[in-house]
Amino acid sequence: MSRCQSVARPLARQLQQRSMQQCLAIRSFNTTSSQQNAAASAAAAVEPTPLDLDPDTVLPEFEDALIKAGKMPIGSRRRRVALRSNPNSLPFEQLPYQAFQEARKILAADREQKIAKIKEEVEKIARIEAVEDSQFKGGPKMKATRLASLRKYVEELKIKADVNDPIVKKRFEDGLGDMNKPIYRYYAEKKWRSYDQRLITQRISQFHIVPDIIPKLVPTADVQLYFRKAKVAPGQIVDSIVSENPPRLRVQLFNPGERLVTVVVVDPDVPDVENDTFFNRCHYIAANIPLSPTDTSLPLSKIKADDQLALPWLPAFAQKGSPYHRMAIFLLEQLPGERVDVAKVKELYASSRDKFSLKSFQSKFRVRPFGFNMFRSVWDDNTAAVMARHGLPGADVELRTARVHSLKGPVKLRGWEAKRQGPKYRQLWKYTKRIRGLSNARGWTKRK
Amino acid sequence: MRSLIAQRPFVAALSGLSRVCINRPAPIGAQLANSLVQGQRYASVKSQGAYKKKSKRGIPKKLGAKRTGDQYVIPGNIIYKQRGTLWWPGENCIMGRDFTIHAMATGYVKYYRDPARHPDRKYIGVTFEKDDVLPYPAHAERKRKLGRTAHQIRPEAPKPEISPSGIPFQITRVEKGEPDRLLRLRKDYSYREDNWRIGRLVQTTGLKIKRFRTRKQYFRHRRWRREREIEGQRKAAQRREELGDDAVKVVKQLSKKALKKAKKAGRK
Repeated sequence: MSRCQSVARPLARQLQQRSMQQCLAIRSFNTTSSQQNAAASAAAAVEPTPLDLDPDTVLPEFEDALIKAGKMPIGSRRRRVALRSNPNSLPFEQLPYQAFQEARKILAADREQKIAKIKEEVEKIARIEAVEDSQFKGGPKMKATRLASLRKYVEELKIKADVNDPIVKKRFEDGLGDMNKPIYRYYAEKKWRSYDQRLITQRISQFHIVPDIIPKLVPTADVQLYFRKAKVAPGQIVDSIVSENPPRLRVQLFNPGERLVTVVVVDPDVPDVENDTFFNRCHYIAANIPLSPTDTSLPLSKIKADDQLALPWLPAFAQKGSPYHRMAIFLLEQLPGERVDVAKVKELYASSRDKFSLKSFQSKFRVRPFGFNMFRSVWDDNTAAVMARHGLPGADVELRTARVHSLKGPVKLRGWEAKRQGPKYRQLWKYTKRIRGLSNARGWTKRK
Repeated sequence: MRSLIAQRPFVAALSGLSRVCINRPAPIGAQLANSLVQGQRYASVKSQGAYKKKSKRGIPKKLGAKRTGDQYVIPGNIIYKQRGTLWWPGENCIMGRDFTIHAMATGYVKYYRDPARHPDRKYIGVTFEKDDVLPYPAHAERKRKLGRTAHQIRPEAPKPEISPSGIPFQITRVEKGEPDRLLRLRKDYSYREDNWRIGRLVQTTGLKIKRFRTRKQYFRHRRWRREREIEGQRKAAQRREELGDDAVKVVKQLSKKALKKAKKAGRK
């Protein structure tokens, strides 16, 4: 028996027993034939039971309905099935293991200690705040430094108070963590930094986002990209028909408070054939979008307000023969309490999306980049149709690699035929001329 | 080392013996052998010059710079040939598998150092402008060239249905009870089905070629079969035991074919 089978065996046995019990129960009350019985149970399977409406015990077939209702299923499917079969099990914190309970007591004592420390520090802060700037030893600058360091220490203590609590960890892993609380934000950030943050920083450097679009970018928020409900890995090549409609972003902030955010999508790989270079094109600008650690969903298609949407979504497209286009999605943080003048953005960029500079946008509207994600676009079967639908020119033009001619002079042709091309060998022309693929009657040619 | 020194007197004694016994000059081979033993060479051997001869000149490897600084290059040009990495590929350059540095763009060769990238390495780069200085500033936008020209995409010419000789390019063969087959005109003016379509025909027969879809399924079946066999044998043994020794009379199992044959033989 394989490992996973051996793990699942007790579970399966339990389920079997349960179903048998059900059958017995049904038989005791029912005298109808077994076929009718089966039909009844099938009908029951279609209708969700109260257990199926609970995110803790929902079965796979009812997951979608639950997600639509706004509740995410909790834990693995196997765990949910196990919970269904044993609904009245003991809560985790009441498990009757002596060592476990003793350990919990130690952790609880440590937490009390930390909370007492927090109280002490908060009182200290209040005392310092009460002292006038001039009276404080070291002046107002020293006072500000002292307060800042104390506040930082309090934040640290808040995390340390809960970081050892198994219930808190479980709630975070079930996706039930309240992101208004520092401990859950701490866990979320730790998780992000363990993989996604590294991935996105690698993409920023390997796709040269940093010198090409902006000189500096340090992401501090988790930004995930979704097209048609499916998550798109950063840097993935997306079919042009999929990226025709704007994506949905999932933004997880790790610092408290609500703020206004600007979203900018830039394509830095637009071919400029006349000047033999590339230029940037702006595909989307929306500003004044409120974001906080608790609301993570940011569907770009739902942003329609006049004081938010500056430039509507322009589908990603790459002309035939052009190298892949990087579509860089930037999230920029506005200064606290300041709104971006969308009318001004429209006036500046609506007439021409080409030659867009994120650097100048940043300085004009005083925004700071904090989140990043990207996808790529290449010419594919659907690009021509997408371009036609949106009135974009250039679908009938193909870019071909420019020939770089050798620095060496032409080489004299060699060989028996080449030697006998002249009129001296007129009698041999029937053999030396008109060689298929090599020459025509007019002389030697090179194949295209 | 110590063992060598220890052996020395013994070797000397041997050589002394040889000198005493043999007076005439030994042939060169023996002399060489002797010299190896004694650790000395005679003048007659030395005069042959075998020890002093230098090796003949080998094949030159022609390493080094093939393009100087500021020289114009095109993609693929070799800039530097080397053993190992004396120079590293920088801007618009790549290194081949024998460490040769090639240009990847048209431009001007620059030899430079880039302490931000590596403190010790020397780089070779190619810039688009002759006046450019490498390395470029750290946070400046990269300089890139498109290197492509625009051409109109020609719409594909529709293929006529009738060939120049007046017969269609493809016909459909309709046979009752069989799937329709598409036959195409070949170069020898015959009509024949595409090979890949012939291959597809197997699917239409509904024949089951393989009993098991996957190897795993087959092995699962084999194991199940073997278990069943073992189980059957065990039961048979048990039955035999119950019946005792007198029931050992075994009726030989015959195949249907063998039974038929036996019946036929009996009738005759």
